[in-house]
Amino acid sequence: MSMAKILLVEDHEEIWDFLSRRLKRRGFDVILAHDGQQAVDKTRAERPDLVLLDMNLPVMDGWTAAKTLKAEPATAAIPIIALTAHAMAGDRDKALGAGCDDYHAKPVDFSRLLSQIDAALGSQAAAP
Amino acid sequence: MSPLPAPSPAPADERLAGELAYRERQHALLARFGAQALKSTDVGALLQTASELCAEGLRAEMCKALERLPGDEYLLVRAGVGWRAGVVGVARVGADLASPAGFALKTGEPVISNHLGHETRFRTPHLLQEHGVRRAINVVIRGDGEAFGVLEADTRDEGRFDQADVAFLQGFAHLLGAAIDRTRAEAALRERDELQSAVLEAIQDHAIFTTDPANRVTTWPPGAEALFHWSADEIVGLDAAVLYTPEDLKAGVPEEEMRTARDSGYAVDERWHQRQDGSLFFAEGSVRPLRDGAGHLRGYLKVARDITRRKQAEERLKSSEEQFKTLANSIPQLAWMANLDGSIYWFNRRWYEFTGTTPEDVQGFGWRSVHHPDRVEQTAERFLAALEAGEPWEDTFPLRGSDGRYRWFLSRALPIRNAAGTIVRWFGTNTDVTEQLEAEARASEAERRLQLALRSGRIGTWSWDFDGDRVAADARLREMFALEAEGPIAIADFFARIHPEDMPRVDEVVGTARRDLGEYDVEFRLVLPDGDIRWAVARGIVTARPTGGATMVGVTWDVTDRRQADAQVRHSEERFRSVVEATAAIVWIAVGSGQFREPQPSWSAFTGQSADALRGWGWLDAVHLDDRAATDEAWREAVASRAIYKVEHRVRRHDGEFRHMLVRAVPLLRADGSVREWVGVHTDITSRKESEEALRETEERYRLAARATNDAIWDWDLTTDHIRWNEAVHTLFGYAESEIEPSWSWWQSRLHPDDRDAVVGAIRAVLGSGETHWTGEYRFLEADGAYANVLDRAFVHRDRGGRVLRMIGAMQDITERKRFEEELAAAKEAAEEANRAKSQFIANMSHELRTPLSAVIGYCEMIEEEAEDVGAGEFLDDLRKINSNARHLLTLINDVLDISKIEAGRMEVHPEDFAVEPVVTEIAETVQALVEKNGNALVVESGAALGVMRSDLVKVRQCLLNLLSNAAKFTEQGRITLSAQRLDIEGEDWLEFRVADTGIGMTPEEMAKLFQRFSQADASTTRRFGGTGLGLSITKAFAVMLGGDISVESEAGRGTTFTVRLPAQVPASASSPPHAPDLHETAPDPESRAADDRRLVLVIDDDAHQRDLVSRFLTREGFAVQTANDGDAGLRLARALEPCAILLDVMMPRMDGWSVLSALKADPDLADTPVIMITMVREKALGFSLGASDYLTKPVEWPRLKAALDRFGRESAPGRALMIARDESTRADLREILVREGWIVDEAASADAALGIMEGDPPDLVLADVEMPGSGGIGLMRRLRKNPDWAGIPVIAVSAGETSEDQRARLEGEVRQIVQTGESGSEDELVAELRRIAAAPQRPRRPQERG
Repeated sequence: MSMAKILLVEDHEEIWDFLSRRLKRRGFDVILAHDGQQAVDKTRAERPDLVLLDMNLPVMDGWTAAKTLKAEPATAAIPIIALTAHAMAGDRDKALGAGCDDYHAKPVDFSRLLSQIDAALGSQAAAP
Repeated sequence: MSPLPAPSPAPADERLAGELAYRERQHALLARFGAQALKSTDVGALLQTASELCAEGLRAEMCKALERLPGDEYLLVRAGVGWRAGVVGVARVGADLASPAGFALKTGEPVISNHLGHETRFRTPHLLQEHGVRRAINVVIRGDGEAFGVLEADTRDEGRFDQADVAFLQGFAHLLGAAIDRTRAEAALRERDELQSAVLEAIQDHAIFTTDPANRVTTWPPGAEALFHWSADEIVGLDAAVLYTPEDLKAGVPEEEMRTARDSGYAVDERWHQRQDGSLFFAEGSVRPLRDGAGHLRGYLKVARDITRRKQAEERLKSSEEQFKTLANSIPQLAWMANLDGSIYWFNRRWYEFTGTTPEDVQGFGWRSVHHPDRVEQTAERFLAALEAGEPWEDTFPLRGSDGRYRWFLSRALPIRNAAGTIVRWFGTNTDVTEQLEAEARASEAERRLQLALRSGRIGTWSWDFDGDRVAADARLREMFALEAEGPIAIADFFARIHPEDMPRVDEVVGTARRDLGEYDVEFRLVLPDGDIRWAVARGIVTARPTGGATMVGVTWDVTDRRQADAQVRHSEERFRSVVEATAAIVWIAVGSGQFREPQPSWSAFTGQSADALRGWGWLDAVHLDDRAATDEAWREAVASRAIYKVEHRVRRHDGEFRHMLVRAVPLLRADGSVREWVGVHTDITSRKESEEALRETEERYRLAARATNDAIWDWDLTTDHIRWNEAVHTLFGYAESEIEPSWSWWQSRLHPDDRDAVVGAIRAVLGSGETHWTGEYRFLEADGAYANVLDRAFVHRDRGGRVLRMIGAMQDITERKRFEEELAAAKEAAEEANRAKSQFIANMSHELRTPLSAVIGYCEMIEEEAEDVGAGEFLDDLRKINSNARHLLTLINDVLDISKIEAGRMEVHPEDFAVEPVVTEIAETVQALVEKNGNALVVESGAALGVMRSDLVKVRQCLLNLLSNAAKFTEQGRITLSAQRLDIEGEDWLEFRVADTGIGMTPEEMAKLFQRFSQADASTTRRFGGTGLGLSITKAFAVMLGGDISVESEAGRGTTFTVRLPAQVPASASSPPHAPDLHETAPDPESRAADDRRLVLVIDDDAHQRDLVSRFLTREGFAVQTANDGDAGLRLARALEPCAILLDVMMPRMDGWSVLSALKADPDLADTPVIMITMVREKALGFSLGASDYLTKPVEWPRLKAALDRFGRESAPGRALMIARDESTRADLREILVREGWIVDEAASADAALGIMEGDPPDLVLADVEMPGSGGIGLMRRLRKNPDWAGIPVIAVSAGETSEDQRARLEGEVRQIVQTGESGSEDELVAELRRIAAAPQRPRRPQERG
């Protein structure tokens, strides 16, 4: 079984660099997007198994991107984990309200993130 | 195709011959009928004939003519052949499209039915079925108008009708139609003729007759007979000339009329006519030519009506008008006739002679031109008003004559009415009354003068007939003697009025006069019935009558006034003397040269100088030495100029005291202008002088005082509009003396334009209202053009009548103060802004710091992994240190971020259900390494059945981690214990976590500062132990947010124990942050509210700790609690939840408690919700005045809070109380008690105001101060008892002081209770009484319930 394909959407270069490398080290197939619009386009085109979605993005913000993806039948089933800045009050609810399946407050706690990814992919696999 | 019945086959030519014969026969029948139809007008007969002939021509056994009946539903069989009896004239056939006849009628098309039995288009009518008809033709009978009916041929034979048969039948129908049209037209014509003659015969008052061209009478209806008395038999055929008078005949009038009629189509015939008996009548009529269609003259139509009566009346009128005008022209008055609108259409000759006008001048309304211009409008108005009202008019006014002089005319106008009583015109006259008026004026003047003389002289006239003892007296005399105005008077009546003392004298004089027939003259007193005594003089003369006997006539006048005047002269002299004495004045008389010649008793009396001493210039010795020179100079000057001498000087009184004297003397001149003597008066003005001096002194003091103050003081005299300023106006505002105008307008012009209206308006309001004080703040223009901020306080000085005399104010320059205030406000704003900016900055900054830190940690971890993979173990240790430090830095940043979020009120609570035991275990594992670092042991003591809690897991974990890392930090080689247990505290479910260490412990001082931000035990702690010092603050804040709290026990050197207690269920309020985004802004589910039957209390307080405390207390007391941490959120929740009570803090950021309270009270839905203020601020009065129900100060006394809430928990307020007390502080005290007890309070400061309120809306309770001014509290209570509507209202009397026995006795029975407010325990007494009243089951019902 090939490893899951993850779309990492992050505009901050260092973050996407190390995160993608670490995820790849865990064997994930990682593709990248750097703004909300790219996130939507790549999700449509590449059909990743999971999207790690930063919320504060240029061009199109993460909430809009999440809503867009969840509104399309072809992409609605793809789990999205929101990566949000812990500083902003109400982020969690806002992210879930936008349709994200889970929520990970930055800074990234990598091991916790991995368990969240596993959980999301597991429930995805279990879904009919 | 044979139209014929074919009994046997026949050869073709035979058939053709038969056919021809058949058709010819048809033509013959048609022709025969045509001839008949032209002649006959009998429709019934024609229809019958047509039916018979058609039946014959078509060889049909039956034929019938059907007539359409009104309503178009049926056709009647009008005529026919071959039908059984009872059909013709009776049977009806349906006229609808479903019958062949009906179809023909409706469509106008012929209908051939050759197989009626098989017909699909129509049903076979019953009549046809009955007669066994097989075939039928129907054609419509129609002329020019609408269809008459249908002609139908029917046969029982087999065979066919063809189009030729139809044409035959249609031919009959056409003939019938034409015949029917003709008969219809003839019938209509006949009808019209009959109508016409009936009309002519009915006209009785007009003769309408016709003649032939030769004027011979052709028609003569009854109207003509009635008018001319000729019968038709007699006159028809005769020449109509017999109707004319012989004169008209001779003049050829009839021919003339006819010619005119012929030429113009109409001739008027208005002239006398002759009846058969030769009598005449006046006819009004006409002649018209009658012509045939071709225009040939056929005769004349003549119409005549008898108008003799009218004519006669008109002629009589005409002649009478002529007569009248002749008459009118001959009278001396001016006469005229006016139309109803007041225009005059005729004047008599006299008018024109007098006014010199022409008819053109005065036609219509030209009459106005001769009226006097000053009077014409008034005259015209009255004249037109009379015309309008239809009432006779009379007025007197001048008219201008032809010579230009005005003469006065008495003018009258009367309406002239016709027989019906309607006014048709007005006839008026003007009678010259100039002489009369002048005579009257003269007469009345003389009369008036006499009357005036008699009246002013009070002279009465009388005559006394001795024989009859009758006295005739005029009204004046009767009045003088106070006798009745009318009725006979006897002499005894007069004598009865004469003073008894004077009576003998009068008697004697009268007796002498009678005896000697002489004159008499006597003065006597009258005693009038009202006791008034008057003096009268009677003069009379006795005359003998030739017939014997004598009469005395005379006049009597009242001399009382004269006598009184004499007495007054005497009296005034005396009065003058006494006045002189009373005014302590000196009166003196000096000779022309100014020296005293004679003794001056008045002067001597005052000064004690002897007559000798004062003689000549000696009097100057009594004048004060300092004043002598001036007196001497003034005196000489007055003497020289002979002008009034006026001076003030001091004169030594006899007791040696100098008195200020005002001296005035006037020269009495001789005829030659030289001074005869001087009359002088000295008036003692010492006391006036003194008061003037006092005033000056006061004013000086005032001026000095005004100068001493820094305020600009103005003194505005409203009677002169003069404003006096003190000197500060220069120093304060920089105006030079010359720049200041002492007027209100100057001051007003220097007000800032934006303030002017408000300030001037406020001052006017104060002046107008009777108030005595005014205070205002405004900007005032300074000399340099800048504006000073001024606080102006003024008072109004009024006279006893309340009239404003002066207004005096002090303008204080508060520019500096204002600036400080503004600076302060700005600084505060800036500080708040800075604080907000700081929080935001920290939040942002922390975020910015964390991003690179995330990268550091991320890369570090990655490298660690890779180093392990590649076996570069020598880097691992260093990498871990980097990672550890980065994480520590992250923790610090997170702390800062957390605290700033807490400060900004942006920290959220996210409750979730979790099992407690695993969390404790996990936390223990997490800190294991940290604890062991300082050689400490970690002990975990988990109580049994920790179960599940619903709270914010992240925060719970953070609290415990903070406490544990704290313990680890300050403990070495010791033991750290983490324990957890589930507790039931007062029925509530709690979880208690304890972190105990054996470390350095704390002193009480250190403990006091423990939870403060950024503080550690001491500065050295920071160096030694590191950290931000925020951990405990955050922990405490989190614990409170989760509905719990934290406490600490410690002893220096012995260790520290932190205890965190959290509710097993986080309170609902904790999870709804006030500034959360939209997702949180949902109204609470009404069902969930309904399910919670506990009464809801809303707590609004920015202090989380306080909210928590109060919430816990309230929850324990059985209330549901919602909290809000600022005013905005509080208002939102209040509106959404409608709590039964609100606890409100005053000092809150953004929107303070006062604003919240005002907003609550302004919201109609919330205004009735009791609001309890809980605050550090002691501003009770403000709270109550804004509508607070109660006011508790921190720290809260729980029993009081409970009592307050118990009160408000009740269904409704006990009612409305009216409190009457003059003293404001008494009212405030009582109000507080009443409000606390839940009463709605109305206040009145006087009994009258109270009664006003009572009348509007009677309260449920009255509290009255017995010590009221005016009618007083007791009087008020009496009045309350008297009104049946108010009698049931309970009254409590309050008294500030001791009530006397007497007062108590009077109040007994009027009031429920007497409370002495000063006494200790009186409040409890009052409260108890209030509660009894509130609890009374049957309180009196008020007449009107409040809506």
